[in-house]
Amino acid sequence: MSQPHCDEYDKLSRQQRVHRQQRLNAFTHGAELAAVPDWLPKVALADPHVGPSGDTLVCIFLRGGADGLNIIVPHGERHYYDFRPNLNIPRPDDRKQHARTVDLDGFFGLHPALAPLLPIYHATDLGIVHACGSPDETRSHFAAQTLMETGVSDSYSGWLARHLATLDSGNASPLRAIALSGMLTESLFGAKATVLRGVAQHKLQVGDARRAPIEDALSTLYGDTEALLAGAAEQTLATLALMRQVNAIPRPTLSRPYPKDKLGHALQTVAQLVRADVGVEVATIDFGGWDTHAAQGGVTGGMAKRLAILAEALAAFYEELEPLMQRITVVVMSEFGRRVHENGSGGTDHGHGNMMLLMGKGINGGQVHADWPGLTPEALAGPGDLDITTDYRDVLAELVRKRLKNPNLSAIFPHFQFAERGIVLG
Amino acid sequence: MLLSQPLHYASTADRLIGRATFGATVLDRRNIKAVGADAWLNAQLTPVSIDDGDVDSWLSQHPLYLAPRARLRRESRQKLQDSLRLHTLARSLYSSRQLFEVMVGFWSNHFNIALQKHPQRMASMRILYDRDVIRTHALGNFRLLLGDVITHPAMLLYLDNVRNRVRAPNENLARELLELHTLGIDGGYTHTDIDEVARILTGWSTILNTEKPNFATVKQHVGQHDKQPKRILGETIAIADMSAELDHLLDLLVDQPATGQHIAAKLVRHFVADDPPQRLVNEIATEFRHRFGNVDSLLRTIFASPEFAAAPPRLKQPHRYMLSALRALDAHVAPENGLNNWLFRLGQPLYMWPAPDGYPDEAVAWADKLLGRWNFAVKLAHNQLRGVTVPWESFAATGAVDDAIEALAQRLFGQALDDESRSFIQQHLSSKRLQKQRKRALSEATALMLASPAFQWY
Repeated sequence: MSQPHCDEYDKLSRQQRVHRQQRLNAFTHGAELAAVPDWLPKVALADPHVGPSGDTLVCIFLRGGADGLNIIVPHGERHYYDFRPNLNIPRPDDRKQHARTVDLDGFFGLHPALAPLLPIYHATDLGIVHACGSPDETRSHFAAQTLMETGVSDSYSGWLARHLATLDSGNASPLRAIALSGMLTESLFGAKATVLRGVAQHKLQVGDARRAPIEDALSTLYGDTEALLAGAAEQTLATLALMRQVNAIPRPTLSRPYPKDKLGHALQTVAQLVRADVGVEVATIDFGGWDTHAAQGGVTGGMAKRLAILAEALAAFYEELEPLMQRITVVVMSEFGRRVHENGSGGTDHGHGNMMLLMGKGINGGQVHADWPGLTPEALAGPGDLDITTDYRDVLAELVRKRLKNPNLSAIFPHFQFAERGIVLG
Repeated sequence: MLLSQPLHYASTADRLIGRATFGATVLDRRNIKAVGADAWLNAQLTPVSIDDGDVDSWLSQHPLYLAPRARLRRESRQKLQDSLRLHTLARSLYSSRQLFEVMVGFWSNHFNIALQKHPQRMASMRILYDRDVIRTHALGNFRLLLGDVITHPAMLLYLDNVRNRVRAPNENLARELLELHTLGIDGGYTHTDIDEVARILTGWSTILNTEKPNFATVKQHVGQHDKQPKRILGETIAIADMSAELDHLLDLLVDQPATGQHIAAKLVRHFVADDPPQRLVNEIATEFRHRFGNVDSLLRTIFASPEFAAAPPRLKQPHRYMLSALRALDAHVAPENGLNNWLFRLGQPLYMWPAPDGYPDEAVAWADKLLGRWNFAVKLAHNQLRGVTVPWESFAATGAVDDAIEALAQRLFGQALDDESRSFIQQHLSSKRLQKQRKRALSEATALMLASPAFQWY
């Protein structure tokens, strides 16, 4: 089963790998602490493009290397069933199974837990890309995530940070970029971004009478400090003011509510902020639990439960924002896919090619965009993984250019030759 | 003004107690003044020489963490997790063997095991891992620590090695052993090396206690072990005995220059600067190899280095921010407290970092969490933290508000406020409301000092 490993692959991956430490060295210089710059010197950035911002972009990162083959199932591919005797999602027409792949186009289908997304797919507002990802051969979570989030560049900054730095949309909102996660996402490193738990939770916990004087005092203290915390404090205070306004806006009732899960809460928060029109341009959300080395499950089980949450959360988000979906783009990605062969533990090991999901009225949806390499043994990459025929940067670049209205693609994804894939309308 | 700037230590001795503890206390300052920095450090590096009766008796009232395995087996996941966190919190706060506790934190991070994965089984095993592995070797020998880490059921479970068998390999532990624990990501290993290390690790598993499935002990499953020779980093390993074979592998890994560099860089970053000065890293890396990784001597070298003497301020991680505040104010913490929840809000809950690489140790990762810190400052200063009481009466009871503020500043910063900071606070307190209520005025002054830029650095 295991393929001979070409050390060439390893060498290639090391050349392209961003050393995390080098990247972070940008933020401290000797005895003085430098500011978190808006962009970092290793990438030659053009002057910002001046123009209105486009869609609000919501980036959901599935942490852990989500198994794309069991999410968007190539049910027309015989080898998928040969290599996954236990983990496979049954064919759409396999009457012996009570749960089966939901067919999309005769070859690909959805994991049944994603059924809530089917209406959106048929409304052509959900697009899927397969056999895509970052070309680097690393199968280390940390390296792969860092590479993907820095746009496979030599730079220290995140691709979203560079997008924000090269688009002057006249948007001075402290919520221009938000991260709904415990920590600032790498894709936003270098940007002035706010980490948020929720709208109502976001306040200084003092009595009403003391709130303003204390916020003023903090403003004075931090106005004078070194740049790292000065920037952080300025954003924090501006955000507190904004949240007070947003919290006053009433919430809608939905026919299919958000799941009671971190992802549900995160998307609900984004929706609330979008409806409040407070200048959110980019929102990043982390959704973990995808590193299914063991006991992955098939139509049921741990991963199926995660998929159900993902689908319900996206469906609720779509319903809440339906009138605004022509100004919103959601993209779902993961650092790599997983090995075609199931392993000995009822799971799958780190792989390569994967799927991406895109949602929004600007997406060329209702289809699976894939230059499908197939799963025959000769077609597999590295130690037995789905190959990559669409670089994920092509997908993101189309989004950035057509939906986010930023033409500075070479600054965001340096040293990259773009290919138009028609994944986004326009 | 002082409150607005990253804190600069008045002396290397101040930096020593600031960084070798979770936050200097009045007692620490008194001690180091009395015995001198060398003697203070020597004692810290010989923790058994320090009496820790106070925290021991505090913990003896909550004995679950220290219970024998048989008792741990019977407990619920929640109780076990709570007892582990309580134990860590109590020792970080109250132990006099502070450097030892700082290193327990360091190695717990380097060899991270999260509680969320296999939570039921992990709860009791994570306690044993803390007791028997991390705390045994925290100031000891890296090679011995590594050996106990890799063969502990908690690690074997966490990184799926329990499923790693001949003809059905699982490479998770092998990968992290090279990438995170020893060589580091640029350490010069290939994908083939990972596969070969995985082969060496086959059969290292656990058996579950059949009566109480929440418990496991390590088992060397010879039948599941890949017995063929392996080739790693250019060396062939063909040793019949599983333990001897693994020992040989770990010796090989620890002996690689890349491992010395990797561990040295992390240690120097932790105590000196986010951007670890290369000269010192090289010195520590060399010493690491010559001393087979004896941690205490490496620390001695770091603290004696010119780089440490000239080290720039480091941003406190949320955990340290909380502890340094509680320690500076000699806070009394009851076993029933909300501090664990606060760690979530501050962004650093104990044993919850979801990946094996542990919490990042750079300022840029933590700078954006100010709101959590400000809220903690406010709550602590106003006695609104569940289970936490600050003995204000003992150091700010009577006398002028200004004097009390000076006393608090000495506790928090180890130095006096400058004029500008003083008048800033006075101006803030000049509101009619606060004028009438001494206690409230003090609370607010304390909150501002705890929330100030100065207190975010160490």
